[in-house]
Order: sequence, then structure tokens, then C-alpha cells
Amino acid sequence: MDLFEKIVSMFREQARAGIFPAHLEHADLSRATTLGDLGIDSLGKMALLTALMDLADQYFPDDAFKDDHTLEEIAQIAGAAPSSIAALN
Amino acid sequence: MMTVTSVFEAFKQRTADIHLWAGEGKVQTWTAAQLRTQAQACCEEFERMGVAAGDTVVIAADTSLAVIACIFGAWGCGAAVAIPPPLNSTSSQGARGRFLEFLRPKLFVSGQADETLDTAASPECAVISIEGLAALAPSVRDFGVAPCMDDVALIQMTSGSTGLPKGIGITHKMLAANCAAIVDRTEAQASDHAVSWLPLNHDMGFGVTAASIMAGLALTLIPSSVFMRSPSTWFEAISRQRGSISASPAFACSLMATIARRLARTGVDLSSLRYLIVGAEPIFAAHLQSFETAMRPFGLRENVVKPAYGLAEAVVAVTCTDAAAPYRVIHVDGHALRTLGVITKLSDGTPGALPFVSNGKPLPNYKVKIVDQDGMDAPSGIEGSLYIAGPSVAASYMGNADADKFHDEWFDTGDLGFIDEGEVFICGRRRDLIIRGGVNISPSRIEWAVEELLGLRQGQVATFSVLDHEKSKETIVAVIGKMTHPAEAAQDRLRIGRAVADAVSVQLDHIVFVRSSCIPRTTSGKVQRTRAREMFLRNEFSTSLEDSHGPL
Repeated sequence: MDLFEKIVSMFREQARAGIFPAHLEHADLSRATTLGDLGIDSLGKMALLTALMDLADQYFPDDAFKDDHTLEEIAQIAGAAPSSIAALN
Repeated sequence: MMTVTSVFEAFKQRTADIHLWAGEGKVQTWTAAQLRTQAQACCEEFERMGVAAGDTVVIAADTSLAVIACIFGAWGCGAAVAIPPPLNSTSSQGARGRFLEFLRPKLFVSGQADETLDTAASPECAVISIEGLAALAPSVRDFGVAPCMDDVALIQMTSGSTGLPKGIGITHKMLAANCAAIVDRTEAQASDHAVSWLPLNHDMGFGVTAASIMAGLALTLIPSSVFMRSPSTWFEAISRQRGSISASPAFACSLMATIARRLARTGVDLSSLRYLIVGAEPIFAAHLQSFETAMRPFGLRENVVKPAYGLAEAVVAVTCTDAAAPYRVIHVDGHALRTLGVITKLSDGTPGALPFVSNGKPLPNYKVKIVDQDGMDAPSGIEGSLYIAGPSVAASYMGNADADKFHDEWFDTGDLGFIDEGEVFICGRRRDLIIRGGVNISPSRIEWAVEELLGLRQGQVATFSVLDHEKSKETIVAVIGKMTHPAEAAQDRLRIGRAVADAVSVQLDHIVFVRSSCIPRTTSGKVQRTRAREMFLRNEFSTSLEDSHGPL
């Protein structure tokens, strides 16, 4: 399972747990789906940031992920070495 | 300890500094004298611009020391202040226009120098920027007037369920009464230092700031935009300023618990904090406990988290946990509560037991009671409507809107709860209001966004929230009267969720499609959100069209 698939799996799990909108559990989430497409609000985005930190086991600044980032790009950012994150943004 | 009778008098006698924490270690400090002479300069400028007793000054700028000076400058003219929510996706230009049309202010203080106003909404309103006020030379001339205690100090706006603004005229007397009660319950002393990131347009933000000034406390304010950009600034400020009193909506506690790992990088020390007021939205035991556990390594002491209950109609606070006592959590039979509205206490761990957090006892001189469906006072052990009374509880809305909520001295909060050992517990909400992140959201705004996206006529969407005590969450639901093919439903939900997040900055947790005829309406066609909520909880929509949301 690559990082993109792990991220999608995390979304589905968190949706089932009531953290993210319930419909994300079964939504068609592709690599081109953007963060904005997910319909999560600022509190949800904080939860996402924390989940991604756990998933990637590294620190991300509060503004690491933006609404127009695709899930593919989020996976790239999350998977990059800490020193590369600024460049990817 | 307090000898002053109003927040304005306390400001005039103030000796403690006030600080603005701008993040990244930047702190701006004004002495009390600097703040006072700046407020006096604002007062002079306002008088020159024609502001007089009885007028309203709208201050549309994020928290700054200049804004504090502006508030007291307006009060020094005998005027009232009103602070609208910032312009963003949760508060559009249209909402700002309705706000101004309702208030008809004499003066609009803009957050940006180049901001213009829709003069049709406020034809006689002068405009000045907060930068312009901050640049005024300090004045040693005393304020023009001393406001009377019955003068309106603050107009708090509440949108209610319709999205149309309602105003609450808070007099200096009401403000002082609530501040004094908060100071009493928190046992605030001159040695305390209050830290707040809450916006001043929020009742909790204004209340904490006013109470801190009333008590003469040192005060550090964090612009809410700084907090939202980087929540850790809140605890960095407490740590550096040795903050002892703070306040927060419950969501921020959950948020801080989730970013605890990031806090470790900042080396914050919360050992100075002794009273953290938590309220503004439903409080769940699991959230408080995870917050306390996550913050222990940062020095958070036992018995610091203090749940409270309040609302803008009472200025802010009505109940609050004692400084000396820890908050109580009791466990209640969920089935008996849901089916009979009866409170049956169970021990923790009993199957079906739901935890409820106490919001504390009423503040001194305040009263609460539970009223049943027939409007009769309910005995202890019964869930019902929470009514409140006290020296800061409004007697009416401006323009006498929603007069049926006011019953002599009592105000019907629209919240459902019960009283145990004199302490208030909240179970749910009767009124059609959604609270997310401590912010009241009109369900109408969500419904409009969905109807616009899908091209539906009005009345095809019912939006409401459900307090889910098992998931410790206020879940937001939209029931949409639209035939949707199951194959398209998933994609439609994504579109709707995105549109609502874009338009109202809130996430829809459950989107349910039903036949239009399944949406409960009155005989006049108005959507019955409360009935829709009941049907959702009974899973009655599941057979309506294309799926089941499953029991909450």
C-alpha cells in the first residue's frame, strides 16, 4: 500500500469514526481529488494534519496543506523528507 | 476586591498593562495610561465626527490594542459598540450589509484603510479605519461623558435559526453584573493574568476581556486570526506571560489535544494556568479528559478545566464550575433519557450509560430552572427546557423579536438539560441552531447553499445538528428532498459537502437524500427542523430513498 492509498484509507477510517463527513467513507477518492473537494472545515483540517503527522511520522506546519492540493500532492508532501516540504509547497 | 461599579470605571482606574500577542514571539505592550490616553483620543475624534450618546459605533477589526481603545472611546461618548464577525466565508458582505442595516450605526471603524461601505445600507454612517485611530496623538482630556449604567454598552448580534440578525442591547449595568459574577466565581485576584484568543465579536471573547478589565487583571490578547493560523500561540502566550486565567470553546480543547505533539516542539509550560473556562458549545467528558491527559506533560495542573454554560442573551456566563472544586461527570441511562426524558444515574461502565459533564452552579444572583413540555416547572431528575434569570439576562431582543422566549424574569434558552445537585447539565437543543467551533451557525445558511447548488426551490433541505453523546460530537445533518440515483449519490454528496464548506465554512457530517414529500413541513410549507431531527434519530429517513445513515 503506497502513501496515497494509506491516506485514502485514513480518510475512510476517520469518516467511519465521525471525525470527517460520513460520506467520505464510500466516496470515490482519486489521486486528483483535492483537499477542498472533501468538504472538511478548519477543525477537520486540524484533525487531518494530526492524522497525517501520525501517518508520516513527521512534523508539518499548520499551513502545510492547502485546499487546492490533490491527494496525490498531499501524499508527496507527507512522504517527502522534512527538508523537502518547503520546496514542494 | 472590586470597588468599581462598571467596566468603564475600572478602565479609568486601571493600572495593569495590556499586551497583544502577535505570534512568533512578537508582543506589543501598552501601559494602562497609554491605553487610556489613546481611548481619550478616540473619544475626541468620535465627538468631532458627530458621535453622541445613544449612537452606535461598529468596530469591524480584528483584536488589537487600538480596538480596545476604540471601545472605551465610544463609551466615553455615551455610544454603544457593536462588533461584527470578520468578513470571510462564514460572514459574507451580504450578512455584513444586513448587520449594518439593522444597526444603522453613526460610525463604522474598518479593519482596513481602503474599506468602503454600502452606503445604501447605512446612509448616514461615517467611516474611519482602525489604523487611522491608532495613529491619533494621545489625549489627556478626560472622556466627554460618563455613561449611565442603563445606557447600552454593547449590541451583541445573534443570527438565530433564520439567518436574520437579532440584536441584544447590553447595558453597562448588565455587563458589570455579569463581569462581577464571573470575577466572583473564578476568584480572580490582582495577581492573575488573563490570556484570551477569542474574538471580541464572540460573547465569550468580549466577556472575558471585560471581566479582566473590571477586575484590574493584567491581560494578554491574541488576535483570533493569529490563533486560527497557529493554535499553539495560545499556550505559548500563557507560558510566556505566566497566564493564570483563560477561556475557550470546547472545540479548542480538543484541538490542542490533537496538536500536543507539535506543542512539544515549543516547550510550553502551562503550570501557571489555574482556571480555564470551557464553554460556548456542548461539552463532552471525553474531550476534556483527553485534553487534560495530553496537557499534563506540559505542566497542566489538576482541577484547572472549568466547564461553564452561557449565552449572549445573558451577556455571556450563567453557570461556571467553582474554583475550588473539580467538574463533575455523571453517567445517565441513555435509553431512559431518550425515551422518557428521565434522568436515571448509573455507575460508570454500565452498558447504555452516557456521560454528562456538569456546567457548574449558577453564578451568584443567577437562577436556572427546567421547564417541561407543558410549560410547568419540572422536578429534579427530568430533562426539559433550560430557563435562566439573573441581573444580566436580557428582557427582550431589540425590536421585540422572538418575544415568546421571554417570560417575566425568565429567558427560555432553547437548550435541553437537567439539574443535578444544583448543577446544570446540557443534553441537547430544542432551538434550530448549529454550533461548530464555538460559533453559532444558522441552519438557513447551509440550506441556502445546498438549494442554490442543486437548483432546488426553498424548503427542500432541512439542516440540524444532533448531540451525539456516544461519539462526543455535535453532528451536522442535511436532509435533502431530491431524487438521487444511488450511483450518483456519492458524487453528489462530495459536491454538496464542498459547496457548504466553501460557503459556510462548516462540514456536513451526514447528507441524506429523501423524497421531497418526506421532509416534514408545517401546513404553511415551512421546514420543521426539530421534527426532521427526531425522524433522523429514529432512522425514519432510511427507507425514504436511497440509503440508510445508520443509527447515531
